[in-house]
Amino acid sequence: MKKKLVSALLIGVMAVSMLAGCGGGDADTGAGSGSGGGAASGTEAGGGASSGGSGAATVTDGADPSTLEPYEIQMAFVGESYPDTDIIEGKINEIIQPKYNTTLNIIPMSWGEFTNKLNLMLSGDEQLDLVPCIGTSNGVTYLNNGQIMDIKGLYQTYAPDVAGVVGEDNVEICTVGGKMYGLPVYKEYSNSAGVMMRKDLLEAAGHSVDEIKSLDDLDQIFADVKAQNPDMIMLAGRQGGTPGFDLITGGYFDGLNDNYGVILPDDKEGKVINYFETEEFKTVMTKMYDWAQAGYISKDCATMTDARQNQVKAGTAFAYFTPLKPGVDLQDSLDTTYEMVYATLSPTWRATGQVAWIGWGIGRNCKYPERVLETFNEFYTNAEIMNYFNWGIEGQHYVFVDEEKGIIGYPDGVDSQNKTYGYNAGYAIPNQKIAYVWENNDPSIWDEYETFNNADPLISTGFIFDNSSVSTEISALNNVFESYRDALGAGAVNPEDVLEDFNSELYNSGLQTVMDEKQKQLDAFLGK
Amino acid sequence: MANVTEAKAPSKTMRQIKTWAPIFLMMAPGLIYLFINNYMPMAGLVIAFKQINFSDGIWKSPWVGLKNFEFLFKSKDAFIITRNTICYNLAFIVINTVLGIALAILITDIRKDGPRKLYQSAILVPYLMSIVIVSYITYAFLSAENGLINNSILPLFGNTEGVSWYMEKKYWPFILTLVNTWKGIGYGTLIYISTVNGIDRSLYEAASLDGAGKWKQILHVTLPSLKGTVITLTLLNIGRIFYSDFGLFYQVPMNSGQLNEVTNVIDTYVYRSLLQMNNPGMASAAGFYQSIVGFVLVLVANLVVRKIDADSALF
Repeated sequence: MKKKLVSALLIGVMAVSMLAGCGGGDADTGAGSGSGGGAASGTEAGGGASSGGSGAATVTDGADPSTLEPYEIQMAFVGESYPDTDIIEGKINEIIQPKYNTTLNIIPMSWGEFTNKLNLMLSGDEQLDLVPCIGTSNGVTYLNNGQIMDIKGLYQTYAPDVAGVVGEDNVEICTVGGKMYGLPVYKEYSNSAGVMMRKDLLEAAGHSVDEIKSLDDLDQIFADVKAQNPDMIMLAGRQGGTPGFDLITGGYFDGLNDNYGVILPDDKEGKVINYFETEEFKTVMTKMYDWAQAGYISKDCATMTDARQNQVKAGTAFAYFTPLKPGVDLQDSLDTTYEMVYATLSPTWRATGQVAWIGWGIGRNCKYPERVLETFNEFYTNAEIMNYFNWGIEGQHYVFVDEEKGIIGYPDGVDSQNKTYGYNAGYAIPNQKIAYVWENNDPSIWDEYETFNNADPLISTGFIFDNSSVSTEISALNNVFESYRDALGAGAVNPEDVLEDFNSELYNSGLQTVMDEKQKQLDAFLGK
Repeated sequence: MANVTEAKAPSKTMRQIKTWAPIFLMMAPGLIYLFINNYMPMAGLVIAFKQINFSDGIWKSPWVGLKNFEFLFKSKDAFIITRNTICYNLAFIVINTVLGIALAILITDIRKDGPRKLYQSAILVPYLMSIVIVSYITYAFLSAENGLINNSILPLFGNTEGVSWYMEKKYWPFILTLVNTWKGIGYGTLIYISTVNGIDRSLYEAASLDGAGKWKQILHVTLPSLKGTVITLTLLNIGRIFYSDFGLFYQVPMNSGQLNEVTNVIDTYVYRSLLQMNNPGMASAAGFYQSIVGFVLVLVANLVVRKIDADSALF
């Protein structure tokens, strides 16, 4: 009898755990995920931007493109693999082949595998022409490893329209040590952290977002919402994305690639400091500790793998900290299926990490970098290509909701689950604002982008740290950082007890060396 | 073989070649495979001493001496990961051997065929399970909010606060050992069962005629007969003592950073430090270090065995 009980128990546990296993594995898509990519008030923007290119000497100028050797451009793209990708490639090829005699082949990679897959492709002899360098440290490493090319001397001639789209200030953002590893795209360029909340629960508790001016204002709100929903978690988080770190990395400082030595927003001198020693860090982490004690943050926060939005969607969480950008509330409302509202909790400033979030580089095995750049330049100015790339074919993958304003939506019977094409990845494609806007997005969204993107830069904006000379220290620092990060950010430990150890371990692992190197490179960047 | 003798006065060497040729031919595919798969890649070890630049290629990249090895020894982590790797593996070897033998003896002593076969198979099931599933089974027990232990077991003992298992370092040496034993014990047991089954029955009959009880039989017949198997398995395990079960140390603690001090082993350390770094030189350096130490350990262990019992040594 006893044995039977034990085995029944074990079977139950196994069944539960297998279900739990299915829930995980939701990749965090970094700076700009989801459906906010939306797009644009139409094609007239494209005409204006492209006018600059005509005078430059190009490979195809004066020559009949068909006399050039046909070349298939291999382009890696992080996103799902859709069955209709071939058809879309065909449509884009109809545009680019007569002009450049090049064709496009998209190699889709999922968010979970792209780091490894890209590394592997770039380490072998495989041809990869367009390389998405996501995150500045990836770009710097690829460049230092000789896996991608320096395009500094090439882009002005062969991709002259990029500057007009992303702005003169930003076009050379992916430059490190005088070499340029990639071209940025049109996306949100500024950093700003905020708290995103379920509107219904917030109002039921008798509050509104306008009350929230600082972190302390959240105390009362959480207390009231928690009182009405005792089973709910107030702040969602996950492993590697705990509330405390979501908040501070969202806009409290410029982490200069890796957060080991940072620049504060109000710094006008460019002094690299250790943020983990500041009073501000201690205050925020103490707040997390207090909130965790009050049951506002889950005890399992540091081991959870579900995306924050999914936790709200599941009805277990009320709010989370998140980086802000125009339209983010709409995007998150779609993701969570609840109406979401947000309040800003940090200054807004133009950040290297956002402008250079993705840099499109040219792989070292590329046979014709000039022609690839020329073709890619077309992507920045040709609305037709952007629509094909991001949304697919009209009538098949999308239909017009409002043709005049360029607003589109799903055709009947198609939704995000069964669609056969549609990356909806405005944050990664060259120029989302010349493409159509997805329904529910405000058609004036690009005006908001304009304001948001023109936020004041920090003194360090534009600077990318080359960590190759301190890679030994950084790998040691990563290990120290990881052993404290989630415990602090989820409020599982009292900062009073651990901050001193944390900092002394960081210094023992070479923090000062890294900070000195950063300061040296930053000074050189600032021309000191 | 008949042809060989019928051939007209072949020279001695020719005859030898003819005799052994088929056997060498049979060995060839295996040897070629070993050479291509296990020996040729060794040339890649030079990467550990280079600053790799892919556009220059491996051979033209600059030499950097031992710089790639620095990160392994830079901080106090070097001591922690080496300690964890060796201590856990030693504990695993001892526990799995002792428990494996005990279980094998118990199972082979079951008279009825049905239950014996059932136990034999059932004990192997965890071994066949993916470590990710094992990690979620562990999580189902240990989750702070919804776990079985915090919600159902600890309250029985009056502890309603619960324990944040994934935050508390002190429990993990035991949890990991328990999980490893639960998962790995079946495989060792299976090998010991087959050895025990292979022991000559007449030895037991003779022993019982001499008046040996069950315990004495185990002590004087079973265990000595298992010695060879134990030594071989242990030597093989010692050769891998510097390699750890990555899944066990990474997945089962749910990659919880707070536990690093007791869960970080060389493999997870290298994975964690290099995941974001994309530095083939440092990754190779870590692999090189593991191989060298593993190799030395096998030599030393074999030397010790040869001193004690020359027949049981591997070489």
